[in-house]
Amino acid sequence: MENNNTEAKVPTLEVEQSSDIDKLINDDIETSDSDVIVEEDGRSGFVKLPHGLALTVAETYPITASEVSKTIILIGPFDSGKTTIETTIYQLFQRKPFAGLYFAGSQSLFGYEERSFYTRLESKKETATTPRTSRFADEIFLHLKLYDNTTKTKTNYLFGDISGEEIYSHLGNVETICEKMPYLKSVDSYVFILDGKQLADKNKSNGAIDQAYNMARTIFDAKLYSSSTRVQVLISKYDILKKNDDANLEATIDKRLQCIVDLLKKYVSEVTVHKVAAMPELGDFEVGYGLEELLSTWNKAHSDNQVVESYTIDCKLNSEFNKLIYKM
Amino acid sequence: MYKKCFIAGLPSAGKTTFLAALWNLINHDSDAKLKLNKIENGQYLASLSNKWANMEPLERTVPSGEQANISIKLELPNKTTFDLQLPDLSGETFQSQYEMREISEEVMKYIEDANAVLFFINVNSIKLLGLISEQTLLRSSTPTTNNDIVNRNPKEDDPIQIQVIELLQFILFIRKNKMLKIGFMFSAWDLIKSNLNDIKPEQFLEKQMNMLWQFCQSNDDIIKYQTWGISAQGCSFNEKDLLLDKEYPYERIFVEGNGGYQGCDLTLPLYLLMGDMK
Repeated sequence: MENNNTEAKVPTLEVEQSSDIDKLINDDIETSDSDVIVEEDGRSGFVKLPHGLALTVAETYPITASEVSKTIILIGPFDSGKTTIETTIYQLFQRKPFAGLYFAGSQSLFGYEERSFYTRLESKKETATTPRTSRFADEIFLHLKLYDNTTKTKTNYLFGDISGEEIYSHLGNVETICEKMPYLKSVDSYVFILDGKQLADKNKSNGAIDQAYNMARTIFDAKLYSSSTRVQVLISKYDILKKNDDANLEATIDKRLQCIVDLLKKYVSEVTVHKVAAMPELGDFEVGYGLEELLSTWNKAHSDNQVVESYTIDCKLNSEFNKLIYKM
Repeated sequence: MYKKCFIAGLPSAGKTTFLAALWNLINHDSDAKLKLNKIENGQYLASLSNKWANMEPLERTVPSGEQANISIKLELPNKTTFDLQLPDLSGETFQSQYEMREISEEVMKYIEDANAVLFFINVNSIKLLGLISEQTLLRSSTPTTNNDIVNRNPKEDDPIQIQVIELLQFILFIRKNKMLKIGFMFSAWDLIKSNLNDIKPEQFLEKQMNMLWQFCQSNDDIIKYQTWGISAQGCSFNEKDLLLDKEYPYERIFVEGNGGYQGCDLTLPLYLLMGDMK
């Protein structure tokens, strides 16, 4: 869906008619970030302020170059809940510190709000939904700065909000993914998402697992990782999976997931499995189920054995440039 | 000596009522920490103060009616005098910064030069986060489908604490992260006291605007803040007869600080925020 409203300076979700409700509920609307950054000259006597939307790769450089940062890329098919995971973490901070971390700022507040609106009562929707990420959008990173009260440190989290269609268009193609997404090389964590709704459907379950396996293989065979890269294999919409009557289903899926974990452990040492229900449909799960553990995994300090011994430096490194050696 | 205090807040946050009450107080209350030394450019404030004293509703400050050059000469307890600049800007000006992502050069200059910021937040405007997924019982009992499409209106739909945090980030951005002294002024505080008598302004911030509280806690290297509960009007206009019976209009003001202060001295937040004025 394209945004034709070139006059609007504020982001609007592209739903103009009541008939679009089905698309909304099906998580099938696009954000209009790429159209929102107004390129025209500002009004006379006025100065432009930061746009507050998702950031481009280039816009993340000032953050990653100057402050402690972690880049998290969520990879999953269309409607698997990538954006919902990102926005739910953000929204839970509106109530209280989360996973022992405090909210310390964001350069994407407006973008987060845009993506969160249809999960809130103000939207007057019956079902929570988040806008679909536009395939060709350049603004893919949502930013959160979080403060760890224990270590007294601030860390910038950059969440890669890449459209499912975009990254899956490179499935099995090492060359194109290296060419189109070179920034993945410096990723701190990959999150491979398997849609719990698909896993609960025996007609789709095997395909969903195979797709995740092949996507992981494509990325790692393309060498888009470092020794410190972590991987999380994540089942989203876990509430829907649990609703399934087949008692053996989850055990079967766990077994299949272990194959993905075994594959990934050939490349990196830290691979964990997570089960998440960010915005559950059933009353048995709390909003944000599993997200606290996920955020803690991202925030965990790297163990020393991930650094190649010959590269170990016998002094404290302060500059982010020097610390790059630990990310190589 | 010049001091500049930047007054910020979204529409109906109580900025103008504060200025009206402040003018009345510094003219009449001998116990106030800061007193008026000399009337210079007080026409606008005097006009506001007259209406306020009669409990007449003050007109909302619109962008075209902004008073950017309000300056009052104040006197400290030690008789030192200083000029305090307090621009009365429209709440729409701040809302526009949030929504349109631009700021006038004039306002930017005020922010750059300010010694402190008073940020007004109307306690009535704060809504707690309500998520659809937490309304499952409600949904199951009302299975009707809502087909009305509601488009997000950022200034009305985005939580107040998010808009406040973004405006603070703008201020920090403009000041290049230079230390910011800020006083959060929770207006209409009489409504809070009637419901939650024991709550202190700092507790209110933590309980009702937790993300803003986290933001301040985690950025204590660049933000020094205080919290105040104020009722510059005293009560709602429906109950004005009660307040009109008071001997002096300024006696209707209620100010509460975290250190246990309860009284009518609206100059106290200014005095404490502006720092060393010797």
